[in-house]
Amino acid sequence: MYNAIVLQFLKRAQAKTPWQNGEPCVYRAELGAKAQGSWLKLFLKINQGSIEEIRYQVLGSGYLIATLEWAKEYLEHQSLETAQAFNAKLMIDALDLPAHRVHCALMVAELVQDILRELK
Amino acid sequence: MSDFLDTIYLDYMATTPLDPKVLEQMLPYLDAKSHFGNAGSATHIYGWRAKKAVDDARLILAESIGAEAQEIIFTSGATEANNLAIQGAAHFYAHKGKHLITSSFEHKAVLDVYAILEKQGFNTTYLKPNSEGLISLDSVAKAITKETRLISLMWVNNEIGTIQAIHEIGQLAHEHGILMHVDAAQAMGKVEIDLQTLPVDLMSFSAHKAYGPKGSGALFVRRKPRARLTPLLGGGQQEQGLRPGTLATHQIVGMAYAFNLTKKNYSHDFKHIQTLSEQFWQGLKSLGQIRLNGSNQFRVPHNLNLCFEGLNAEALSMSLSELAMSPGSACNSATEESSHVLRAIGLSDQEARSSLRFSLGRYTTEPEITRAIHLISREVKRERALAGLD
Repeated sequence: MYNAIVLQFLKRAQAKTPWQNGEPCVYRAELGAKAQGSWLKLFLKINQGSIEEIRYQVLGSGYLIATLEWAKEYLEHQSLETAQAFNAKLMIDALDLPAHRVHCALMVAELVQDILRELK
Repeated sequence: MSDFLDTIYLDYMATTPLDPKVLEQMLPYLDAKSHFGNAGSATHIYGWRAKKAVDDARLILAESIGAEAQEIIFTSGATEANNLAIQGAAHFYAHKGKHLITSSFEHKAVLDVYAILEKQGFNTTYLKPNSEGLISLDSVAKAITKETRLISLMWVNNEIGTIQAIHEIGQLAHEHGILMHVDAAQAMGKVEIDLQTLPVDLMSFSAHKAYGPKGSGALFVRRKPRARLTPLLGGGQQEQGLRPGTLATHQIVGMAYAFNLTKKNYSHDFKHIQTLSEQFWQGLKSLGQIRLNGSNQFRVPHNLNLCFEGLNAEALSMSLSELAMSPGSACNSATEESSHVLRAIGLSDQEARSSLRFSLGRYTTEPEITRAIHLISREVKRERALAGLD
């Protein structure tokens, strides 16, 4: 049986046209491979020290999509300082991810931290 | 989460609901005031009534498959029937040869039994289906050796719904003096079964796949020529000594009535399901990038195993909580492995993980199919857009 909170975020996920290369204030990172069935691309728009908007593309399990959507909703409008503390455990706890789905949170956390490192 | 009663049931290959008429037949045998007796109690009316019910049920069930009453052994389901048939035959005839044939895309209730027998010193051959999900007669012929004693094949595949050429394979088996066992758990009501003409020695049945109760099944064991089995269990002489244990009268009555009803309604149900299945497939096909897994020709219309190219079937299945369907078979859906059936017919791991099984039944309605097409189309478009595939 799927947990209700995961289903809620999975159903909320909606595609938004990704920003083109060269879009000002937009930083991106990518992980996985479509051919292997697990791929995600994350775009963060940073404005005056905070995350103004997040967009993503994702191919993968329902848990991965839900985790990404949760991260988007959590991080949007947060300061970069707050975002630095963002980690997999936050997502695992909030979504009550089962042990065999923890990798979804690890992937999303890694992408976010990749972008934040690039910003530094 | 939506109330499950609002959920459209498209998982009839996993199980079917009990037909209300079947339930009606079963209830007197659960009633504390009348028919609750043990069919093995030979000294009073409670036992006599139960025995008569079991005897009548045996006859009704046998007639619905073209068998004799004495050829029916009641079991707890098709899994037990498969175990009894395969292990029972393998051990009984072991002195004549220890080679057994099956296919690589059988149900676990057969594959696991073969694995047990391998550990006990039997030699096995697993035939590979072609990309259509069919076992060729030629591959069976090539696998037969002087040591071969048993061929076990599924009639209707539980994941992709393909139909094997049981008549031809059975004939070939008999030409070589080999016993033929057929797992017909999914066949009842989906193909016409007449054991008077089928060259089959052992056939397994499940009640709950044909609108009967769960926990009930049967094994057909041919008498002429007689197929001999070594029992798996000790504990009584019920069922000709092949399956000890008190008979579950209400379950047996329910199964027999369900099979009888299924036979009577065969043409009506088949036509109804075929029409809806075609409507469903045409509705989804127009989305593009959707393939039907398995043969388009040799298959039952009750089952549509679809590959949604490039998408993750589990994500689709989770999002479609208004629909009840399976990624792979119900027996595999709790595991992380992709379907062994889909991989056996040549799908990549990724393609297998992009596939969902939809199965229709007696109670599926046209409005349900129309709504299902709408919901699936909406989800497929959303997930394609999320993956940048649109």
